[in-house]
Amino acid sequence: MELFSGVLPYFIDLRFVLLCLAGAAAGLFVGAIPGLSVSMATALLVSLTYTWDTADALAAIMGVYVVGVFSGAVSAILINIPGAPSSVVTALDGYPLARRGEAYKALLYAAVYSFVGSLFGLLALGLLARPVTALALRFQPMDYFLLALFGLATVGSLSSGSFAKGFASALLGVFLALIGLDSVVGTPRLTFGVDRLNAGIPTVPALVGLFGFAEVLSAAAAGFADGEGGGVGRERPPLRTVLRELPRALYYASIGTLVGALPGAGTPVAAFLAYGEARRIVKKPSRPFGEGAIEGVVASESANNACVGGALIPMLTLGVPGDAVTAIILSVFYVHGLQPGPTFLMRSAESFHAILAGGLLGSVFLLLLGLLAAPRISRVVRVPRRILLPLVTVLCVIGAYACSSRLFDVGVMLVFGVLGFLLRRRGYGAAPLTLGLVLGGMMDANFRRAVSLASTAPNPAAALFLRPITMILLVLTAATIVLNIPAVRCALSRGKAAKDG
Amino acid sequence: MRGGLKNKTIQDGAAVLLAGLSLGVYSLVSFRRAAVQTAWILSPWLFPMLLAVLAVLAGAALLFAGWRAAAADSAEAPAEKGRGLPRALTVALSAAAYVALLPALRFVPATALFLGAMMVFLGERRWLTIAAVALAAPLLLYALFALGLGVRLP
Repeated sequence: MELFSGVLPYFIDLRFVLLCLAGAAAGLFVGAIPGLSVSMATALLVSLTYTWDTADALAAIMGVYVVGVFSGAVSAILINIPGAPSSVVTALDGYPLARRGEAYKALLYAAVYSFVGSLFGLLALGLLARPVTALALRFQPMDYFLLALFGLATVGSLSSGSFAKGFASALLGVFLALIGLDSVVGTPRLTFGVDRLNAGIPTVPALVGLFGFAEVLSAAAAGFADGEGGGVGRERPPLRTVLRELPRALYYASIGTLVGALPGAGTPVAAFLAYGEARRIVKKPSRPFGEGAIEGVVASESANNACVGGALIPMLTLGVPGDAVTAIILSVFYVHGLQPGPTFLMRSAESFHAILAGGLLGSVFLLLLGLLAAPRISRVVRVPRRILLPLVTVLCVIGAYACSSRLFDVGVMLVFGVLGFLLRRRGYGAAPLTLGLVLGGMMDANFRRAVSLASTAPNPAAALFLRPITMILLVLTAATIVLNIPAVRCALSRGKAAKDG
Repeated sequence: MRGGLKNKTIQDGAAVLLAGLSLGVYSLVSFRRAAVQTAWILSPWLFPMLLAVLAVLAGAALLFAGWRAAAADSAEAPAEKGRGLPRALTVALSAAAYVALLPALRFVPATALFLGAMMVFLGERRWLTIAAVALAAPLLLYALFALGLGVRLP
């Protein structure tokens, strides 16, 4: 009740609402352009808001944040270039849908379920901030390592047909993530004397290459460039049909919230885990996963937007940002004299309510902008591919260069484009490689931290593995790997067939 | 056996296995060298060694999967066929040439040249469309990114 009465005044404050709308519009625009990330937009906005009133600043920032996470799906669906790493999974089924002339449907589902996920995450932030924080605090380095390994094992099943191929692709991503200066002792690793690699493989240019430029090369190789662009599709599914996914979306959103609450895990991990779950629980998808299953879009979008609320939980209650954007938002807090931490909810209730109100309003604007802008934006797929593909290549170059104004990054984008194209030709998906690339650094640092901590314990093995969370994650990871061994799968399906008669 | 070696999954499995072994040996050598200055638990090469073990296992799994497929004479996993490779390579090389030309020609002229050439290569024959897109798109992109958003362009 106190929460409701604290948030309500912001909903009727016109200035607050308009600032949030302006932020939401900026988030839609920036998030949809590859290379212009939500964190970049938030950072730009933060520099403007230093002199503003705290509530005004939080309104605009929450608008950008909530809508920016969704809008990465727009370019992912339309041209297979994820506007943000969180949209990589959306591209897996969203883009095939656009290719089939169902771009509008994909964008509609993405908007509706981003709204659902966002709302879920923010409500969780309001109601469950304390218990979720308590759970997140119990995670030890080994748990983070196992969580990432579980993610990689899950992602193996994302690769079309073969777990071994998916896992090998993910390991390649982890290997690439290890290139650069070591985060613990600061010595170069796997750079082979190339100084420019000391900073590591830049993630955004690599993603733009793996998804955007690789798609251009595949389309050119397959001869799609000769044809006209696909239709937009004006199929407007009835509300009842759209809402049929709601129960599952709430489950994916709970995954997103929990993963968001783990510092450093972030939206891509949430989207990948939710997608893995969708593959497991949806027995009869509308189309096979990876070929335009709308259930895949729902899983990814509801989970990655739920991360927004989740990522704010450790930031507000522990002062530990859950992702890059919350790290930037943290700087606004310090500038305005706010001190996040365990007592924040009591000491700065007003700012907490402003964040919640900004997020909830941002979610509503997400839905409105998504539904109103989607039909107009989706017209891009009507452009003939012989014109669209060169334009996409130029956008890839701009997107890669915009990150840090280095031509080296554009080179990285081209190399990863060719790599993605070659992997695709041999039946390997880019998604597992992406997850490996995103999680590799976190796995390395946490593994070494865990070993280091355990080495001082009287029983190192017990210190490493004999904790409830660790054991649960260990069992989950082992089960995922074992259940994907062909012999085990055959035995299980034979057993099931025998049982069915 | 020859049929088995032609199986792409077996080839990939052998490559991953070899890469895993190479990474393992390289990491082990680097680990021993680094051990002089750093405690083994903090060594930057500890995790690559674990990764090498996982890569060897993944390679073995691929070999096994390929061997099963070859033994059953089943179709390969859905990989794209060999056609169109020269076209893709041409596009990749053109993009590389475009990026190489950017510092010398600057963004708008280099992009106009690249767009025009690519559209012709991909089959566009309406010269008015080519000219319009090649001239208008770079200017619009420049206005949007450089002037509107303050993004530095190459």
